[in-house]
Amino acid sequence: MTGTASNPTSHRASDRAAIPMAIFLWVLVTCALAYGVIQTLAKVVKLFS
Amino acid sequence: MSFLDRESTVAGPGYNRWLFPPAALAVHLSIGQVYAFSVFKIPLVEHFDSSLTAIGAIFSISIVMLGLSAAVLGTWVERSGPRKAMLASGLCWASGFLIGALGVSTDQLWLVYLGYGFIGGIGLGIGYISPVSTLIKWFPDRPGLATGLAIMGFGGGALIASPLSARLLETYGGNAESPDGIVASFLTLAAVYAVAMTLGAFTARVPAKDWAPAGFTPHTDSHGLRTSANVSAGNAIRTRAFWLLWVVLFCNVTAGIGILEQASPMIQDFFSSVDPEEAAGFVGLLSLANMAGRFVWSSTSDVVGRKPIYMAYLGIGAVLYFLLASAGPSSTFLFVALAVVILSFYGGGFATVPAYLKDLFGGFQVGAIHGRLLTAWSAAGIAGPLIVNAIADNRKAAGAEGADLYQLSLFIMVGILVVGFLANLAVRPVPERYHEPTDQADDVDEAGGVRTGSTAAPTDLRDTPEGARR
Repeated sequence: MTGTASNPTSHRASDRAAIPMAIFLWVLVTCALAYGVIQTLAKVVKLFS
Repeated sequence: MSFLDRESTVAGPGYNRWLFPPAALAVHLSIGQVYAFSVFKIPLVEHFDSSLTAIGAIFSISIVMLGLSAAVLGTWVERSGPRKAMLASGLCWASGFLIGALGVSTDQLWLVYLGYGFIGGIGLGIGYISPVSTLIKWFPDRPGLATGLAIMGFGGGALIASPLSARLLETYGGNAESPDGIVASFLTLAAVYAVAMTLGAFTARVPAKDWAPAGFTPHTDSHGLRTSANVSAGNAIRTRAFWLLWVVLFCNVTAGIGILEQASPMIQDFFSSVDPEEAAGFVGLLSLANMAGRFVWSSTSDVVGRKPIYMAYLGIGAVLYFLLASAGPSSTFLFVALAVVILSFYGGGFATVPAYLKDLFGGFQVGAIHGRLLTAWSAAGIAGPLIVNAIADNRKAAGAEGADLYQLSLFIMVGILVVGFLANLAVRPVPERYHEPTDQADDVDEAGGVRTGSTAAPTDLRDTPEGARR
């Protein structure tokens, strides 16, 4: 696989740096979505109670 | 600033494609806050001693700017790549809150229009389309799932922002005389979204030109509506298929937004036993259905195809609307169940359209084409609520009450969905004369450049079935 970037070494370093950030973002967006869904479900319960 | 360019974001060998969706989600969850703007409506009305209409205009301006900026800046987003576009979006979105906070603290409503509405709205448009074409390139085997995942974030953003904003207002306090609560909430949201969107931007990577997922063989021929060719954004808007899809999206959004915007008063008018708190639960349920539909139906479209799934959104949707209008008043459970499925189709329509565009026009400038198509959303955002509100007002003036206020508008929505169904039925493959020359499309695709004045520009602008067969 070839990219357009001229320096594959800097690519690899940049990709490695992105991995922990992406994993952190997965955790962040999952927690945020869970917060939103739980808060909303609490309201929904009132509709059927 | 070359590190922001598309070329600097090309992923190296072995990069895991599942590292890109959280970047897309971070952006969409942030800009999805716009659907929770209503939390600030009453505090702003009290602070500015203004009308609901004047404060509601802030939201309207932002949605109109979303459509316009997505249409106008789509090619720039495509050329610049996701990192630069996501950063620009974050900058506009956070600035919108900051300028809005300044407007509130200095009692100048026009600054809130300018900040949250105009500048923030530009951030919405750029942010909405920024990850789309990159997701399609990372997931050529499952474009519906990939775009559904990101666009689900736009629906989910309101679920997060609504309780968060209410909690912020409660924490910071403030009242009509002292705008501290609104200002501090705006500043906090600006900081949170700036950080989330910047993290997303710096995580963004585009695949190398010849990258493909393991075991995936790119289609070298065209099947049905799916093309192996590419069409530029400039040429796409000359095709009949684009405008038919515009009608499809317009009809689907008009019908859904008509219910969504009036959900709380509608269920209370249909059933006098439902109180405002229970109605809020209904609104929450519709938001969940809207979000889930974006992911579930869009992913399903990878299996059943785009055209069939839009036939379901629009055809089954029309039947459900008819049942809602005719049998809905008989049972709260039936009413809620029908509305939930209808809103899941509404969300599905939004999330599936990028993959539909990719099938029809190829991945070359799909983000820019998507941006132009979103003008249908702006138009529907005006038409849907206008139909429902105007009819309800007229019926009320004529002495009607309860479900009678909405039945006519629901039957009109049935008609609108039937129009959308027929438009979807008429979608045909894009004629070859609109296709980019293969070698040049590949070159521009890699560089992310734009070539709207293509050498493949048609001499005959009529998009005919005869042309499609050539």
